[in-house]
Amino acid sequence: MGSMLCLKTFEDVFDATQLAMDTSGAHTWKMALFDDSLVIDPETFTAYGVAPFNAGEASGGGYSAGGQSFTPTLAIQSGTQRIRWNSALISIANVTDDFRYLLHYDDTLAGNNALFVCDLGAEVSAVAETVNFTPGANGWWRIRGVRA
Amino acid sequence: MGKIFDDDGKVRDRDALLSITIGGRTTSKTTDLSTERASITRVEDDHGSTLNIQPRTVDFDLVERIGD
Repeated sequence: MGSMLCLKTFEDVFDATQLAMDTSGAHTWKMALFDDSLVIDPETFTAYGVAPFNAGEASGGGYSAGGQSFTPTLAIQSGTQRIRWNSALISIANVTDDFRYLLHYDDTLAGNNALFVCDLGAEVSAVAETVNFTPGANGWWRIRGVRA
Repeated sequence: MGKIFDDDGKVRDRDALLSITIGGRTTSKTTDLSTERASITRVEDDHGSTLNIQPRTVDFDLVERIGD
């Protein structure tokens, strides 16, 4: 299906909703793991715990429902004409389940509003092992502010 | 003094234990599970197994179409 941004979240940040997403450190962000049974529409998905992200989540072992907390940043990547979503390594110990999609959402907001879904390309099967997620060389995702 | 057993479960006396080589070689097995979207490797060694996943950065680039 591919990785995607949550369009509804962007809409809610700017419209009368004034969704107060916060990456300053004041909010807790989480990354939740989901299997490849999900069908995700970028126009309609909104949050953790809301369809389709109310099913197919990893479970058991060291994985806690809701996922692993992490500290994201959203900042201009100097010299690239892009803004970048990034973080340090996210590590989850003792994972035993299958997953393909990684959902980033603001856990502090009452609505657990989502921002980004990362598609690993295929389902990964973990068996009682530590799973380390390292963002790509230029972060999780970037948006260019001008046509290349 | 309690009994001392070797790796085969045979009882060894203390003098014999001193002649047994202690320690071993740590082996590590790495399996590449990468997809087009992420680098994925499983490393298995004497301490357990670790999955290292690095998704490739997703660039949402603008496409400007003049005249739309």
